[in-house]
Amino acid sequence: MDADALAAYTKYADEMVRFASAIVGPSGADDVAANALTRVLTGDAWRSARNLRAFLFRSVVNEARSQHRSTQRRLAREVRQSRSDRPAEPSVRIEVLDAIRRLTERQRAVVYLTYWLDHAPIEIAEVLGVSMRTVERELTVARRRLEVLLR
Amino acid sequence: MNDLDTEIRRAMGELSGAAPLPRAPSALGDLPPRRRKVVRPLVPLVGVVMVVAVVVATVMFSRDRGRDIAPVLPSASSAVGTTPPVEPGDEIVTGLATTPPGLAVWSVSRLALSRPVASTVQLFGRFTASGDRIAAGLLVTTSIDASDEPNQASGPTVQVGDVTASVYDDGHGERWMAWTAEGVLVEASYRGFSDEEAARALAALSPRADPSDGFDPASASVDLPLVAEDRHDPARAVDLTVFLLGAADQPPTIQAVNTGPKLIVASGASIFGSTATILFAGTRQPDGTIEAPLTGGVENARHRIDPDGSVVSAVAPTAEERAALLAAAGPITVGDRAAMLRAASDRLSRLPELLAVDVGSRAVVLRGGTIDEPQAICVRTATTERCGLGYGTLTPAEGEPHAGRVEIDGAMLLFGWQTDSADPVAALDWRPGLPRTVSSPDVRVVQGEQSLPVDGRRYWIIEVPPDFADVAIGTLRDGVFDFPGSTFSGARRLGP
Repeated sequence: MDADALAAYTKYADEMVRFASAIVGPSGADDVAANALTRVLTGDAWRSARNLRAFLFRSVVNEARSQHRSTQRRLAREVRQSRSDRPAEPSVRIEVLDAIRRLTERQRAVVYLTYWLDHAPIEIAEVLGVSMRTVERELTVARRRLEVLLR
Repeated sequence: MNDLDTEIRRAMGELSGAAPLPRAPSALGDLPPRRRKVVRPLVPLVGVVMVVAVVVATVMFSRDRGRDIAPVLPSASSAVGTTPPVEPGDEIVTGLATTPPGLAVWSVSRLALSRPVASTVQLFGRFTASGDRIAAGLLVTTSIDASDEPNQASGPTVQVGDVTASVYDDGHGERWMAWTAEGVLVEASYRGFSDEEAARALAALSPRADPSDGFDPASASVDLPLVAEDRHDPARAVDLTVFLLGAADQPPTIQAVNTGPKLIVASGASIFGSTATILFAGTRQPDGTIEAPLTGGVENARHRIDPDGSVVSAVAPTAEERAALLAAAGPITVGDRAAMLRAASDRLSRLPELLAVDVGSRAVVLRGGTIDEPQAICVRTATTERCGLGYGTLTPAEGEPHAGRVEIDGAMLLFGWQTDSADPVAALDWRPGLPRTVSSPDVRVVQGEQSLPVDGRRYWIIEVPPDFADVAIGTLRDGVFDFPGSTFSGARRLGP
């Protein structure tokens, strides 16, 4: 990783780990973010990226998708651990982990970008490289599911 | 924000807060680069963005006889509102011609608004016997799929010809299906059809030569003709003017930005109102206007689609208020519009002064409310003071820095505050399609004046060069401009 890549890593790593935490849960966030950023920053495509931040967000979502099975197992394990009073992530409530486990990776990304980063649908569309209509629909579906799961 | 939204935000905060620290760069493994998937769009994107909007209009509801045919006129994001030059201030535009009783205009903001990707929205359908609603219809959006991988089918699927589409349900009765094929994302909502019937109707439609341009209306069946079509060109901006109202004796709170009352005038199909979307979701009223949710999740809007393709939308809590607000829309002069803003400024300037901070030869003044949440932010010069609402109306999603704008004697001034440690604020000559970070040699950027630090803040004022047509604010560091909010809108001058 050269100096430019290192600078990009330093700038975005914390934000991407937090983003990954919302998608795969805290214990897997480090792996997902590190893999995504390493894959991107050891290549060349990112140097010509029109929006590097969006490029990295998408890479994190894609990495999370590629680890879908292990993510589901890890989240399920964290739920079980929490239920057995072995708080793997003591600051995150069990129902939250359980709820996000039931969303798709893209839905988790849309919810995080909407509710935590306050991005408008049009910005999320840019970040995730999907249409605004897709963003609105994913948010609608995710919200509906969370309404059931968090209440 | 209701309890559920609060709960979701809290959940996201918990997950973000529980994230571990990022791995040190020295601890990163050396992963082999993943082979890139080749996504082959059917045509170059540039070919798509050059498409000029053409709207095929067929049937629309009629006011007097439900089955009569009335054209839905061209509507396109490229239809930037232009008016022939007359005397400065005498140009006629659509605006709030009269103010509904008990209300006052508190803000008039004008934006240029663009889209991230080229897309086409088509409504194929037939109306109810009374002509007030779409009885059966397909609302189809086609766009270049900018994602790195196709939509992964999850949950139920249905075959649309040779492709497999995922089927979704929003839990409130709307169903839609989506698929990606050859670099084009197709999403279709439907009403009056089962999943399989909708899939068959979609499969019967022939894509245009460029599939991202949607489907050929000639291939539609006679009982499901094209009703309306909108093209969104990311290279062109829609002209959007928002009139925000409130009680005459009290500035509206920030919640009013979403809930209204407000009147939105868009020069063409925009994120706030696509004719096809409005017709699909809406119910026509006896006066010819259409009640339909505002795109973006805000409920309770009433729309008027004008012959020139512009869309006027009224947002207010009750149907009566929406009707009154929309009825108040009409032709006004640019000078009238600017006078409304000056009148709002005059009212805001009478709020009690909390703080005045010198910035060069001018001052930023906070009035009403508290230092953290003032009701007005103002610029004071040697001869005058102009104010805007305290939460700023510069962009729809401004983030840091907190900013407003005024126009004094033809000069546009941007002003506000930011945390002391932030990179300096700058104004950029905005145009559609800018990336989130851009080097200043590639675009014109101007920095303004800053105050000395005051309680952890720096106050700033930027005088926008007269040849900046539209302007966005951001921060500047090492010659790189960074947008704090949306890259898809720029503030546009109101006029004299």
